[in-house]
Order: sequence, then structure tokens, then C-alpha cells
Amino acid sequence: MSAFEPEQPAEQTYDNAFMPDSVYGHALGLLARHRTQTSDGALHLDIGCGYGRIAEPLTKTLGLHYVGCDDDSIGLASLASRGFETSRVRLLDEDTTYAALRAVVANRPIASVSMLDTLEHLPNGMATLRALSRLAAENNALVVISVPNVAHADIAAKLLLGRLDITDVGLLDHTHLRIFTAQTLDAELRAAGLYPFDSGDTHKVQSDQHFPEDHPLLASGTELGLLVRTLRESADPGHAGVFQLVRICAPGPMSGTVPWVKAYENENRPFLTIVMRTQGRRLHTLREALLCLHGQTDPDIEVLVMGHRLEPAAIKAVERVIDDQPEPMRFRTRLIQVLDGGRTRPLNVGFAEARGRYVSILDDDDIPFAHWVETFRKLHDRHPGCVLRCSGVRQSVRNVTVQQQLGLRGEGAPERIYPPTFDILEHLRTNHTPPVAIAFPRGAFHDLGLHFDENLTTTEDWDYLMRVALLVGAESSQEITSVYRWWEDGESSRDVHSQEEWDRNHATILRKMDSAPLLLPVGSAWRLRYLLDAGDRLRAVQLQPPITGQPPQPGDADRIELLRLVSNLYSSNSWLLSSPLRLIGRLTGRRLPNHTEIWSLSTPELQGLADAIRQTLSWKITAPLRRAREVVRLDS
Amino acid sequence: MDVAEGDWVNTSALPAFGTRHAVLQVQSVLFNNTIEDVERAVVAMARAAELAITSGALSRVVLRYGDSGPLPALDEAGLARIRGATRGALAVEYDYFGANLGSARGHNRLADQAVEGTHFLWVQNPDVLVSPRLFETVLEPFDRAGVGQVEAKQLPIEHPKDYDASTGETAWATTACVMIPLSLFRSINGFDADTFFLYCDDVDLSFRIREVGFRVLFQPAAVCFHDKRLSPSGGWLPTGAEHFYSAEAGLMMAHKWSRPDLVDQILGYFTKSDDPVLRRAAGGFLSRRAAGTLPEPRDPNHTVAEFHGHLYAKHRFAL
Repeated sequence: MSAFEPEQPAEQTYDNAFMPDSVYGHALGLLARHRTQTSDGALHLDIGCGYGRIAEPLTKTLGLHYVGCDDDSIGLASLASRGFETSRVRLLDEDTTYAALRAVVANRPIASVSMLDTLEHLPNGMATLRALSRLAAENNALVVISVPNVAHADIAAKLLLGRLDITDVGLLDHTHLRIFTAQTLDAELRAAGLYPFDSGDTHKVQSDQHFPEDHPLLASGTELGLLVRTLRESADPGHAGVFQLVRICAPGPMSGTVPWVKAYENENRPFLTIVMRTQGRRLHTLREALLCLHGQTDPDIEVLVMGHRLEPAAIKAVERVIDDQPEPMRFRTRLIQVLDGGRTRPLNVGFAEARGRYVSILDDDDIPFAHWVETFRKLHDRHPGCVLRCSGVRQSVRNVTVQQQLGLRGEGAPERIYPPTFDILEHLRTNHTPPVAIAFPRGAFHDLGLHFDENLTTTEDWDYLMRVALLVGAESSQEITSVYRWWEDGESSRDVHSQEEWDRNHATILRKMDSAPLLLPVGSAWRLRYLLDAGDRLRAVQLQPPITGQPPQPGDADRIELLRLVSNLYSSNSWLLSSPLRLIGRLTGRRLPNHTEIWSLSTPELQGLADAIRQTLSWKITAPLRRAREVVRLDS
Repeated sequence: MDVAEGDWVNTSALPAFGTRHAVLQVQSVLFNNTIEDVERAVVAMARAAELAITSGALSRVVLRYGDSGPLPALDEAGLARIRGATRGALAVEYDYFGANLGSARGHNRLADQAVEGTHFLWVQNPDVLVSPRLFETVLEPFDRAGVGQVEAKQLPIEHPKDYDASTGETAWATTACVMIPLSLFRSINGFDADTFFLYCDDVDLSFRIREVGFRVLFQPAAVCFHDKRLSPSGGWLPTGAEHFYSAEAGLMMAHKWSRPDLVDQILGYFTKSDDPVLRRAAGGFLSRRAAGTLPEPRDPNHTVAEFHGHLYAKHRFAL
């Protein structure tokens, strides 16, 4: 039934030649790679064989007795004419299929079975798979299966914009009854008792679905296409260009479970997974962090303590700290050991293990306030799926030993050094958010495939924050919900890594940002205009051409001050908000110089303009707004 | 060791109160607390008690609640829920006061109810969560002579008052989370409830403990969680009650610990203030002065009490 080359068949059976890079070649390659010692005369059953163009190379390579099975007489006749054994078999319910195949085999040993590009045509594929599994189990035979990959990037891209092209042949052949992705194929195989242990997928970067050429998501030159392709590669690495999925399986017990997803079961997750890295060297701060988690007003959490490269004594010590916890915390907490990798590896392992709908990094010296989780949840309720960003403070600390017991001592006031809200543009330059202040949506890691860059030895959290926030957005709360400890006595990562290393990582992150398309949140256009205007203004002030050879004139300082004043008036909320009020004036030709024209005005003209702005009706009407703002500012 | 009341007064040989298998009373004064807050604290406390009993530091723990709220915070079902949360690690007693006794008088009443043989009082706010090994950690310094109080560190906002980075010695200990030998507490007649209602009762208690020669220690290795928050600008968020009672207590402290200059200064500021809370605090003080109900000033040579601006210890940082 194979249908991947546009050679028109009779009765929907396609005669595809054997090619080393076709599904036949890949299937044979898998069988050859995993060939086992077989008795003389052992069979290879080819189910849904069509014209069976694999028969000749297979018998030549593996020395097996080929038997082609199909319900189509034309393909079988072709095989028979080429000297191969054939049998007409209909693939129906499990027992009928199993009995039919046993009759074909007639107690001869079976070495292997193939069913290539057939499963997708069957109304009850699971029954056939189970029949094959039983047959294979009785003979310790290997089974090769192939199906078209419906998740090919070409299909997915078009479907994203609502387009689905069913074709005469190919990935979306109109005769297909079932569709598969790598994940669903593997799940169905396992459920039927066929366990994939190797794969030989065929790839086509541009499939038969790559049309029309000028589709914005298919054309190679579009930003949108690049973004989608980048996302896809990240989310499903190696599968975007898979044309046919080819698996070799060993028979085993049938799982007894259906391979369908039960969507409602996925919702039984904690709200927040907390990934807490520890090297077992700061047990006193680990105790503090766990205590603060017990104090959460929203206890819907799980805690993954990521023990990184722990020595045996440290493992016991960390286990002891966890075991000391009160039962509600102990049940929510588990130690996961990470034996290798740099400081970023435990984050990837922890995020992979996370069951929570959001994931936060809380290092073993961080301190969350009681409403840390609660505030994340409030943000989530308003903006589900975004990066959730709260505010935090930084506090200097050092170790002290009081009465022979190691403790941590705050040495400075909690400092409000991080901006109260998240500004993606500011974060393009450097990080302004400690990891403890963020909750990442689980889907960023598990669905978008965004993992921490383990090549970074510092600031990996900034890199990850940006990659995630630029795709899913970020929402912030001004609530201070955490304390980021700032070690004064050589205990932090900033002491472990050299400045050169920090600089190198910083430059790497900037390069990564520069190499990817940028998806900015609503409101960014205004911000960018504002920043560009600000740059223009600054340049205009700085580059105000001095009269060659002349010292600055006495009036220059006044002019610059006036430029600033007028520029500020134009940029003020009052002026921007009251813009519609000046529409009539503009329509009747009574207009003031625009923002860029002010730079060419003389000092008296600027003074006149400033006065004129203040005399406008719109400026007077918005006076209460400015007064209210002033009051709020004074109050705060 | 067991020390008879008053044994150490006016002697140079101060005792050590440490003992294995000690009997501990944990006491808290409730005021409109939610059962969820109380239960979370009890779960933490029960685990700490369990561990301390297993290690031999304690033999028995009684958790005694007093309730100053306008309505009982715990009904029978609530009390049963709280007792269930202890998993049998400690006994829970509950006394609804029927009146707002404030912190000082409430704690005195609870201390009076301590069972025979109680060695230590752990005084804490009802919403404080102790860390699992807290009791062992704060009891350990009592093995040394002359230790009168050991205070734990609060999180997430550490108290800023200064302490010696190796001995832990500090000017006073907050009753949000502090261990006191019961005999010492009784010997100095507990909190001065006639002078202090809600604030500075703990400062005054520590000063009087130091007055009889004992040291007050801060132990940062012992931690507890107290749900305190910062304003969006990063500052402390005082409650309305804190605003008034700390103003009133400030006057009382200056008077009681022989700083009439400070009394005058504070009164001058309060009476001229636009803040009605401060004017009310000044009025209350002046009324008591007129009625002759102010406490007798002590520490005339200023060997114990410390005044650093409006603070009673040097602070490492400002909040």
C-alpha cells in the first residue's frame, strides 16, 4: 500500500523502487544492524507488502525466506512473478489476523516482520499490531514498522494558519485513515507489546507538502518562518524534517493501557515546582529555605532538592535535613542527585522532573516571603502562561559561628536594587531579575523545549529568562516576595568565577539574542520610538554645532535647558493623553512644531513655544492629572 | 540544672539552666488568628518537639495558648484539629481569656499555668514556624553559666539589632521567638504588665534579666519563620497597633529606665505632632504621671538599658 512516490498506481497500490535512503532502505538497515542468529529457512514476513521491492535486497542481505502478505492481488502477482512466496491476507480484528498469519507461517521459524507504510491505512491498526506482537513473541522475531510523520514541519506550519492540504499521494495521502507522530507511534507500539529500540527515520526538509512556495511560514526568507522553524526545532529536535517514522521493535508484554492521552489527568499537578540547587555545603541556609517554604500561605508546591555532585557524607546530611522536615513538607520534597555537569545541569534535570504548572529556581540560600507562591498564583490568574515576575530585595550576608554553631548574619538592609517591574528592553542589555523572583511556565521547558544552556557557567538564568520571556511574555508584581542573599565572604558564584568568565558569558548571551528573531510585547513600538527620540534629542544637544573656533556662547546653556523643557512637555503623559483635543487645531492648520522640529528653533522661539504649550486648552485641562500625580508621588 | 528562684540574685556565681530531658512549655497569645496560621505553626512545632524529645534535649512539651481575641479563635472542633496536627508530640492547652490582656499580661498568665517541673518557656508569636532543630539549638547555650535568654533568628526579615558575632550577646530579645528558664522568669516576676501592654514588654524583660547579671543571646543558627512583609518600596510595614503601642511603650521605657531627658524629648515631639496617634500616646503617659501610676525608675547609672535614638540596641542596618 506504500504511497510515497508520485507514480500513479492501480487500485491504490504504489510501486516504489527500493532506494537506500527510502523507507525500504532504512528498514533493511535496521534489520541488518540488529540481525540475530537465525535458523536456516527462517522467514521474513512483509505485511502490506504491495509490490515488495524490498524483497530482493532483503533476501540478499539477510538470507531470509521472504513472504509477502497483502490483500492486493497486483502487488502479490508481481512478487510471485519474481519468485517470492506470497499470501493474500486481510488485516481485520486481532484474532483473525493472528490466525491468518499463523496459517501463512505454518510452523516455520520467523526471524523478522515488516509492515511499512501500511498501519496508517488500517481502520483498526491496534488489532494488527497486537497480532504481530503475539506472532513475534512466539518467535523472538524483530518487527519493523514505518508510518508517515504528520508532524512534519511543512504540515504543521500550514495547519498553524488553518490550511490542510490532503493530497493524492504523500504525507497526507487521501487514503490514510490514521495519523502518527513519533510520540503517538511509540505509544501505540508499546501498548501493543512492541518495544521500539532503534529508529531509522527518513528525512526530507522540504516534503511533498512544501507548497505553496510563497506561504509565509514555508518561504525561507521570512522572519515569521524563521521564528516558527526555530521554535519547532527547539520543541521537537530532530523531528521537524522527519518524513517517515521507522522503528524496529522487540516483542514484549502488552501494556494493557490505551495509548490515548487522558487530558484531565494532566491537570493533577501542583501549582509550583521549586528547583533548589545544593552542593550540600550550606546546610544551615538549606534549612532556612525549606522553613520559608513551609511558611507559604499557598502550599500547592513540590520541592526538588537538586543535590549536585554530592559526596556520600553530603548526601546523608541533605537527606537528614529533608527528613527533619514536618510531614507536609517532607512529602512535598525529594532529593534528586545530579552526578555530573556544571552548575546549570541541575536546572535542566530539575525542570525535566518538574510536575508543577510553573517552575521556580530557589537556591539553597534564597529566602521567599510567605506570599511568594501566593503572589505567583495571583499573577498567573491574571496572565496565565506568562513568565511570572515578582519583586525582590538583595541583602548582604555572611557566615558567623555563634556559640560554636554556624549561622547566617544579615549585614545590611534589604536593598531594593531590582526594578519593581519587568522591562524586557532593559533586560536586553543586562539582567535585572534574580532567579528567585521568577516562575517559569512549565510549557517553556516541556513544550517549547527551551532548556538551560549548559555551556554558560554564569548568568544562565538571565539567558533562560530572556529566551522564555521573549516568547511567552512576562507579567510582574511589585510585591516584594523574596530575599536574594549577597554573600560578603566568598560564598557566591561571583567569587567562584573570574570577571573574564562573567564577561564572556555576557557576550555569549548577547550574541544569542542578536541571532534570533525578537518578539516584543504590546507597547514596545512606543517604547522603541521613545528611546530613538531620546537618542536623537541627546545627540542634538551634544552635537549642537559649536561655531568653529568660537567658545560656547553665553546663551547655549539656556537653549539646552529650553530644549529639555520643551522635549519633556511633549513627552509628558498630559500632552500625549490630550492629543485628541488638539486635533481640530491641527486640521485647521494651527499647529505647533513637532517633536523633531524643535531642534532647529532659536532660544527665543523655544521660550515662546514652551509658553504656548502651557497656554493651550489641552494643557490646562490636564492640570488636575498632573496635580494628582504629584500628590501620589509625594505620598509614596 | 534546677535552680531555686532567687539563688543567683546578688551573687557572682550565676547558674547554668541547661538540663537533659527538660520539660518545656511553649506559649503563645492568640488574637484573631486564623486556624490555618495556628495549625501551620503547630505542625512545625510538633516536628521540632518530636526531634528534641528523640535527641534527649526535651522530655515533654506542653503548648499553651491564651486567647485575647474578642471571640475565641479555637472552638472545640478547632482545638481538636490543632491537637490532631501535633501527632501526639506535645500536649495542647487553650485558655480563652475573655479580655484583651495584651502580650505581657497574657504571657504572665500562661507562665503561671505551667505544669510542675517545667524548666523552660518558649515564648513565641502564634504564627511563628520553628525550624525542625530549633529547640535543640536554642537550649544548647543554657549549658553555660549565666545565660538568661536565647533568641532565635526570624525569617524572612531578620531583626536588625546588633549582636556579638561569636558569643551572640545582644541587648534584648524579642518575644516573637525566645527561650527563657521558667525559674528565672518567675524570679523577676515575668513581664511588667502594669507598664507595658503590647510593645517593649520584651525589651524591658531582657533588661531586667541583664540587670541581675544574666546574658541575653541571639542564636542565628536557630531559625523561625514569621510572616512579615516589606512595602513595595522595601520598607517595614508597621501595623496601626504597632504605631500606637510602640509610641506609648517608648515613653514608658525612657521613664522606667531612668532617661528623663528622653521622656521630655519624646513628649515634646509627640505633643506637637500632627499625628493623633502620637498625641494620644503622650496624653496617656501624662495621665499616668498625674495619677502617680508610672513605674519606679531603675538603672540610674545606665549600666543595663541602652537607648540609641528610638531603639534599644545598636542596629546593624535600618529597616
